[in-house]
Amino acid sequence: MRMQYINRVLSGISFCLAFLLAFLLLFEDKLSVPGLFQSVGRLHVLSLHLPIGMLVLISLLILVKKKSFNPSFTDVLETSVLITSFFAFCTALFGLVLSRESGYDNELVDFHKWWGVATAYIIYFLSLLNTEKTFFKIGLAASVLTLIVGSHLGATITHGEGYLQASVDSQNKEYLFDEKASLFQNAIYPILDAKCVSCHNPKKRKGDLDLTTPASIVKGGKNGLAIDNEKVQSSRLLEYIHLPEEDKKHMPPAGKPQLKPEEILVLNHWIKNGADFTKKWNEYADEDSLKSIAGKLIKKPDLITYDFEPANPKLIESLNDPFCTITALDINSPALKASFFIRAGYQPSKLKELQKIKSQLVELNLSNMPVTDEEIKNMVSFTNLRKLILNNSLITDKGIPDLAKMPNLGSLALSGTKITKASIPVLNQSKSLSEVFIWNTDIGISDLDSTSSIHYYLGYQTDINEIQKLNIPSILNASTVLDKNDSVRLYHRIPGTIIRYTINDSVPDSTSAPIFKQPFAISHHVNVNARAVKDGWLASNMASYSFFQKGISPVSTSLLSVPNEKYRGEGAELLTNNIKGAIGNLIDGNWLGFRENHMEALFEFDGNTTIKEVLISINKSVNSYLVPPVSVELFAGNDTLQLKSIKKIIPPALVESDLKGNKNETISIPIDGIKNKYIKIKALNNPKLPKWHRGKGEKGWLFIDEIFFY
Amino acid sequence: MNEFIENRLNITRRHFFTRTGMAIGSMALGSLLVKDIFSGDEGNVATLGLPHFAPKAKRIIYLFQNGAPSQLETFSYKPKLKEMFGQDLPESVRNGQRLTGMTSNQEKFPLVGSYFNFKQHGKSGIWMSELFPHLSTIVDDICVVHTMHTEAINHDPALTFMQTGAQQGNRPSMGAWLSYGLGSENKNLPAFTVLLSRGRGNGQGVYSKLWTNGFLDSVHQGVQFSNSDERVLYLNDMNGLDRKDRRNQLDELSKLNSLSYEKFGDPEIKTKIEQYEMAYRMQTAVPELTDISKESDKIIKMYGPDCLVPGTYAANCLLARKLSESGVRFVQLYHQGWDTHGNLPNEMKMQAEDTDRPTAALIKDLKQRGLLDETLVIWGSEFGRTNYCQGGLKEDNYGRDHHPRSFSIWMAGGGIKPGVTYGETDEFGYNIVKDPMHVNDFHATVLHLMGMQHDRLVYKHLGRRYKLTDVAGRVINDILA
Repeated sequence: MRMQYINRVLSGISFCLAFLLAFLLLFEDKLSVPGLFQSVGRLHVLSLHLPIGMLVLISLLILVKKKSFNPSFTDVLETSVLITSFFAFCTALFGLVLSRESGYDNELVDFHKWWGVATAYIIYFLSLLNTEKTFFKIGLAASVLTLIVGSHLGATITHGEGYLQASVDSQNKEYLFDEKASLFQNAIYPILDAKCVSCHNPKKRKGDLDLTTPASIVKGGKNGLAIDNEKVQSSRLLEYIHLPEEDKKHMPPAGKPQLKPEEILVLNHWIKNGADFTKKWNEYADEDSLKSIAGKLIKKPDLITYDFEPANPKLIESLNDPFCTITALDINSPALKASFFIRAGYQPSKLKELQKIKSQLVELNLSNMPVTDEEIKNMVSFTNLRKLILNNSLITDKGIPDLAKMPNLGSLALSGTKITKASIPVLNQSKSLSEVFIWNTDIGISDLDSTSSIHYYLGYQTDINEIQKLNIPSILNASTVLDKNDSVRLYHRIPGTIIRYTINDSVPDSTSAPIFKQPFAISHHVNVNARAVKDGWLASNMASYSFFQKGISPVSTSLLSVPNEKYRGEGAELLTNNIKGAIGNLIDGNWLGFRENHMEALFEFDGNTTIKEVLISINKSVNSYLVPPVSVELFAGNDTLQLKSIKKIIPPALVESDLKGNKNETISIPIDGIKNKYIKIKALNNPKLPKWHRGKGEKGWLFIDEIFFY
Repeated sequence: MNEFIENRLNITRRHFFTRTGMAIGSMALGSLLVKDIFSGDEGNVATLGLPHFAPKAKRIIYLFQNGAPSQLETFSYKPKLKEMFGQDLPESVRNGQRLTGMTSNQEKFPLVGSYFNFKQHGKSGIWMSELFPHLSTIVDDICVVHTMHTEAINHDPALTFMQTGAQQGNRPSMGAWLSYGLGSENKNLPAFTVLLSRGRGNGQGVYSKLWTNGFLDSVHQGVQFSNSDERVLYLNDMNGLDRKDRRNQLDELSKLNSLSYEKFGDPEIKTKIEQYEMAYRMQTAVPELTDISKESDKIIKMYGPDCLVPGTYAANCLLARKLSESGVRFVQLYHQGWDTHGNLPNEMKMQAEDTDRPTAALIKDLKQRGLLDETLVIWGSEFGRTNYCQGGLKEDNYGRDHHPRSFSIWMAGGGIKPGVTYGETDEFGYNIVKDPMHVNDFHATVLHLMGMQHDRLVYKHLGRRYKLTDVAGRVINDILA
């Protein structure tokens, strides 16, 4: 019962509203909205959603109706239609008030008004119909249709034309930079388009301002000239964008995407410079401040856009092989680049195969490939080729005319080829070339024509005034411990270099010291000092190599004293393994270091070999506490318990000048040929560093990497 | 438990879907689509969609100056420091910056200016110290960034951050990300190679975690070249074995490995097969590249005579050019010896002597071959050095500690605006006053130049999507040409 009562009341109200709307429409011209009611119009955008939702609801109810019929269902349906009708009229009335506000495209608003009104009345008539009848369903369908048209028009007023499609594509709207277009077109309009035009366009002229064309910009809006060339400061555009964001008149309105500081700066400069719509980008001087500020904003097209058809991906895949890689410039580009690798894998026929992608190929790299003039003919059909690298190929002047004819070739690299200056005039004929690389060819600066628009890169030229120092000679021997038949082999990596050397510890003179001509053998041990010399270069620093001949290998080696725990390497064996330690790298595993204890080691021999010399190799770096032993004593015998002292030597005492240097030093102990089974060596560590040493009074270190027996 | 069962139990959900996905794929018509849905192998997905846009640079040569050369003696001209020689660094400038253990006990922080003189060079008027007479001839080709900054203050974390985008290690290195994203241009060489050299100054370690593949497939790992004459070891055929035998051997080995892969499903087995194949092709490619016996006099004079001695910075610069020219995506150099805590003027001088000529030569060499516009060259380190002295202070001898708040790097070539500087530091050379460039920004910019959007180059690992720039980084457009 209550339901029916409500329905009756709603029906009455709807009737009144229908009448009111008709009345207002009839006398629309004379309608003036009292100030109080003006804001009521804004409710339009709120209430319009209710009839839309309700209509959807009703349509759904109708659809499910058959299956669950219940008498009260009809009541619900009728009430729903009445509520919809009520809100539809409200929306129409609010809309009528809103349309009195200015700033809308009248034609569009008119259309929207009539479609909206039609929707409201159709819904009202629906409420008068029996919901059971087919006629009701037809009416419902009609109302939905008018609603769709009407609300779409409304949306167009609010969001602008093409809003629906825009969400998909215009987000990425990009302005292609064009040097020959105006600065306005390149830099100013993109800002207006992004931040202003959605409200200031021919359809939706907020403030009666349209910012889409130069003419309409000049015309200005209802608040005055957007750009006032007479009184720059009163240009409304400048004024509004500079107002604080809280200000009502600030543009773009609060909540909309704001102008960036640099965009404001550009607009400011452009207007203050007279708001030129036509002056071309390339007519501005490079140092012009407007141009330089604007230059930071625009995205210059760094790439040429290619509009040819892409090649079949399967074809591209089939052309790829280990010696030739073909890929697209990027995932979306139809353009291809091809690079050849490995000289040994180059096959001239491959260039013929590339004919299959002749129109897509834009970059071709044949660097270091043995390409001949014959194959250049295959390239002529690559009409879109823009970059070609032929460095160190076999092409000559004969191939150049074909290259110069290629219509789009902009960059050509010919460094290290046999081309001569005869090719320059031929290349200059090209209409497309902008850069040519000719380093390491016979062409010099005097062969070039300064009037040509092509930039020729000559690259690095040797400066005859600059004389560099050679680096030191090196050795070919795998180790400085030489096998019996091996000999000293010095060499220098730069061809034509002479090596001068000495073997008597003197400094080799760069003009008079003996020249190294062939490998030479050594006896026991020798220090080789060498220097590299070459015309046009400064002589190198001196290199020193300490060579040892492999000696008699003991059957076994054992330590009788304990080295410092940090410097033990592999133990006793390292003394006789013929592997030298690196100077200064005491932890490389080839050094034994003694400090707390003296060095004492026992060497066992087969007893049949005569030994005439013992050679001890140490690292001497006095400043770092690495000092020679104060004495070395040798013991020999055939029974370890009955070894007799056979020789004792005292190396020269340390002097202050020893502080310098970090080097390999040897202590040679010649003995009368002995054939004993055992030799014991005892080297006494320096117990007290001299008083001029920074560690005076402390113990020194004794480092030994190898002991040789000859 | 036997290994086989253990392996079955270890197959993860991802592996399971990968494999079943492939199985379904081979049955279905468009296997590609099905594979994408089920595959955990995002590596393939990534490479299919890359580069995201046309790259400005195709290859990178990264000249890493390990140990941190002082910006104040090289590119950052601060006359104020000379004026204030010996005066204490104002606390307002230091502003709570943490210090390393090496100077945190120091009572005073006396300012010290550059021992070396500065001059403006080229059309661009970029300031450079007298340490780099050769580099100063090519200033118009480079872009100096004065405002690099990092969070790390010690070598290991700072290096790791610079190379992998994280301080803790185990993330993929920059080169590995590029290899993953773009693959190798030349299929006969690895996409990511590493060359090491050691200068005469105080050195800091380099370690293989700096060129690790992290959680990416191990094919993306940096391949370290040897410093001997044989720059890639074990490429020569064994005595008595010719190339054809080697081929047969590899074919059979590959069959066995494939069987093993069928059984265990370990992706590392696939990597191994690929690596064997790569090594076979490298047998031809590498000797052609590394043969330096025929270098012209021009090249030797340009790079300096050391370029013929393997293991020197000069030789590595020359090899870097050759590798890059042959399509190696990322050539990473490390040069040790810049850790100048003391004896700075002498050590900097030695370091500069060894590196200045070859560095400049590399840029010139790329340029004269028409390759500079497609090769990005980066020179930089892990952090900068303090404006105050560490240890004893003399006009001609002093040291500098680590400084993370600002340091200078430069870039050249592929897509970089030439002859400009970016960013400004204060007159003390301590804090950034304009246009900072964080390590993440640097990575984002480098990836951008290579045609990749840094936040779209991702790899899913342990349930999280990883990026080189993690959750930060912005492209510094102002240095792009």
